[in-house]
Amino acid sequence: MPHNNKLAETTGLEAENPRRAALKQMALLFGLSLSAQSLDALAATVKGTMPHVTKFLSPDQLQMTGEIADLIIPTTDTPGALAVNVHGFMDSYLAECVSKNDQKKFLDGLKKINKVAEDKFGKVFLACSHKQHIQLLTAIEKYDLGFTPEDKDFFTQFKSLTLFGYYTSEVGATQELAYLPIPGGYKGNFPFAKVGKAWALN
Amino acid sequence: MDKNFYIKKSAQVFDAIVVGSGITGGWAAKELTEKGLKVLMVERGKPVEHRQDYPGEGVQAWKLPFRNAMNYQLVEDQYYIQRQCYAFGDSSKQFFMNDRDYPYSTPEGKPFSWIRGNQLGGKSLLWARQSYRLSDYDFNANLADGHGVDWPIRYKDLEQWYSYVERHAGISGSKENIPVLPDSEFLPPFEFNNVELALKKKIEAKFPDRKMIMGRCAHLTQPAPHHLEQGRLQCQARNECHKGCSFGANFSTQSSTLPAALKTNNLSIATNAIVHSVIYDPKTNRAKGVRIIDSETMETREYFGKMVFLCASTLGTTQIMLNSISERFPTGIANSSGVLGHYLMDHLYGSGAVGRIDGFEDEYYSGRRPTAPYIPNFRNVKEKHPNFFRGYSLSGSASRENWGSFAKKDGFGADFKKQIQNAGSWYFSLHGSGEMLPRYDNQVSLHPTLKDKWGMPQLHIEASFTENDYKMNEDIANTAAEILEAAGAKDIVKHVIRRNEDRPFGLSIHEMGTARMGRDPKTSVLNGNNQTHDVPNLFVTDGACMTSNAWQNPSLTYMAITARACDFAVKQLKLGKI
Repeated sequence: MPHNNKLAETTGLEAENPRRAALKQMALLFGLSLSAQSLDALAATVKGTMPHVTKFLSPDQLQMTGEIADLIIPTTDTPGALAVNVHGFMDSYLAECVSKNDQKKFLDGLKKINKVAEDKFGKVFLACSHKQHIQLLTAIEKYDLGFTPEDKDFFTQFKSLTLFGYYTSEVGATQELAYLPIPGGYKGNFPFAKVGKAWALN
Repeated sequence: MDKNFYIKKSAQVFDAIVVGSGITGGWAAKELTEKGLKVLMVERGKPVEHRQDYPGEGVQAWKLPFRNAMNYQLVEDQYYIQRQCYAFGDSSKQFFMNDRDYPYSTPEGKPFSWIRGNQLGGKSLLWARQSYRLSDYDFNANLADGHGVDWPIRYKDLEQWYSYVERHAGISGSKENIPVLPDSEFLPPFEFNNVELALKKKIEAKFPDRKMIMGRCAHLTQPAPHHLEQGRLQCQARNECHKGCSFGANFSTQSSTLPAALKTNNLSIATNAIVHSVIYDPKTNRAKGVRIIDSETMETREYFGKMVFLCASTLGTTQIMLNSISERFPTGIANSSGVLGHYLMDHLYGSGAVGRIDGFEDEYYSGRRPTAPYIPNFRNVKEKHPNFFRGYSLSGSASRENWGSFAKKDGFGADFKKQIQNAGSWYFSLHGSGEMLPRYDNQVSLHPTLKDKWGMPQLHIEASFTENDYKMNEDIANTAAEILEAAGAKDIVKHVIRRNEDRPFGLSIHEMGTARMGRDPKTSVLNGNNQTHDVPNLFVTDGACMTSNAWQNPSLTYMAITARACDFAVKQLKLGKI
C-alpha cells in the first residue's frame, strides 16, 4: 500500500531500519533530536509489542486506531501511544470490556472519519498525510467538514480510551508521568517543581 | 498461624454465636472472646487471610488484563449491581457478592442497589473508613421533630464506648470542639494541601457556622504501641484500601478485631455457612442457635449457643430474622411489634457542586490521601430550615486534574501530552451526605415465592426518596455552590439528585434501621442495649438497629454500639438472666 505505514513497520512486517527511520522522522516532526541510543531503545520498545492477531478490530481498523492514538499521544521525549501498543490494548478492551452497541459505535466512528477523509481528500484516513490527519481530527472537535456532535462524542470516547491505555501502561505511568506506588504518607505542602510532572495515580 | 479455629460441624453449645464477620461481627467476636466466652463466628462467604488473600494489592495496572476493567459479559451477568460501587473493579471483585447467586427484587421505578461483601471480614474490607461520632443532636432528632420513635439511648450512654473502640481501631482526625460532632480519641489528622488551606480560610471567614476540618478516618497516621503490637503499620497513603492492606493501616476485621479475638483462643469460625434462620425454643423463649446451609455442599447444619448476636449487615440480619418463623413469631423472630423490615434508611449522596480554582500552578501534593476535607452539618442546628428536616455534611477535596480529566478537553498531539504531564487546573468539589427521615413505607420483606439457589427466600426491597430528601438535595447543591463561590471557584457546576433513578437508594451503602432500637416494644424491635424486646438472648448490633440515621458515616457508631451491647450481654449472662 502506498500510504505511510508506521504500523506495518511495528508489526515486524518490514525490516528494522524503516522502523528506526520512522521514529526519527516522528521525532524530527516534533522538533526533537533523539540520540541514536534512544532511537534504538525506542525501536526496541516498539518491537514485539504489536499483536499479530487482533481480537476485535480488523488489521486495517487496528492500524487506523494506532495512527489516531498516536496523533493524540505522539512520541516526544518519551514513547507515544503507538510505541506502547495502546491500539493493541484498545483492541482487547473493545473485544472484551464493552457492549455490542459500544463496539458498533466505535466502528461507525472510524467509518465516518474515513468517509470525511475520502470526501475531502479523496482517500481513506490511513492514506492521508500527517497534515491531513491533523486537519481531520481538528475538524471532529470543531464539528467541521461534516462531522457532527455525535462524531465528537465518539472522538471523546476514543481519546478517553487512548489516555486510559497510555497512562496505565508501564511507559505512560513510569516514564511520562511520576509513579509512586507506595507514597509513604500524604504531604499537602508539596511544590509541583519537586516532582516536575503529574502523578500517574491521583 | 494455627488454623484449627475453622470448624465445619460441631455439637458444642457455644457461649455465643456471632452471625457475620464484618465491622460489627468482628467487634462482637473480639469483645465476647476477650470477656472469656467461647464464641462461634458464622460467615456466609469464604475465608480471607490477612495479607495472603489480597490478590489485587499492589498489582500495577499494566499487569492486569484490562487495567482493572473487566469482561463486559461477566459484569453484566454476575456483578450488575456491585459494579455501581466506586470500589468495584478487577482488583477488588473477589470481595463483592455475586449478584447472580444472591438475587433480590425491587418494584418498578424504585431501584435499590444492595452492595454486599461475601467473605470473612465482610464489608470491613471495602468500607470508606470515614469515622464520626453522633451527638445528642442526633439522638434527640426523632423526639424533636416527631419523625420516627425516640432513641432509647443518648450520647452519654455511648461516649465511653466510642473512646474504647477508637483507641483500638485507630482514628485519625483533629480536635475541634464542634457541638454537632464530638471529638474522638485521635491519631494525627491527614494534612490539608495548600489550596485547601487557602479555601478553608475564606470559607470560615465568610460562614461562621461552617467549619472545614479534615475528614476523620480509621487509618493509622501514627500507630500507637498497641497498634504495632497487633502487627499494624503506618498508612502509606496509597488509597487502594479496597484491594486489601497488608500494612494493616486501616481498620478491618482482618487487621484489627479478628487477631484480637483469635489471641484469646476462644474463637471458632464457620465459613461458607449461610444462616437460614435463628432456632427458637418456645419453652424457654430463647434463641438456641442458628440453622445454616453450607454454601458448597448445600447441606444444612445447626450450631448452638447460649446467645445469638446478629451482625450480618442491616439487610442480611433482617432477612435472617424474617425467615425465622415459629408459632410464636409467624412474621419473623422478635417481630411482635411488626416493624421488623420497616424504616429502612440510607444517606443522600450524589448532590453537590464542583468548581475550578485558578492559580496555584506551583502547588501540588504527594501521596493519595484516603480522606478529604469535611464540613460538619450546620442545617437545622440552631434554627429550623423552612424546606426540610435534618441535616447534612459536605465533603470534598482540592486536587489537580489528571489524565482522566483530559479526554473531555479539546486538543491532541505533543502539546496536549505536555499539558497532561504538567497536571491540569485545580478543582474543588463539595458533595453532601444527607440525613433521611425514618419512614414505615421504606421496607424490606421476604418475597412470597422467589428463592435463591440455596433455598433462602429472596428479599423484596421497596424504598424511595421523598420530598424532604429532594428538597435537601437541592439545598446541598445550592449551598455547596455558594461555598465554592465564596472560596473563589470559577465555572461552578451543580449536581442535584431529583429522581430515584438518578442515584438508586442503597448505593450510599449506609442502609440501616430495619430492626430499630426504641423504648416501646410495640414500636421497636430492640431495646437500648440492642437486645430484642421479645427474646432476651437475641441481640442485633449492626446497622439494622439504628433508630434514625443522622448525617454522619455510621460505622464508628456500629462499633461502639456493638462493644456496649457485648458488655451488657456478658453481664446478663453471668447474672443468669439470659
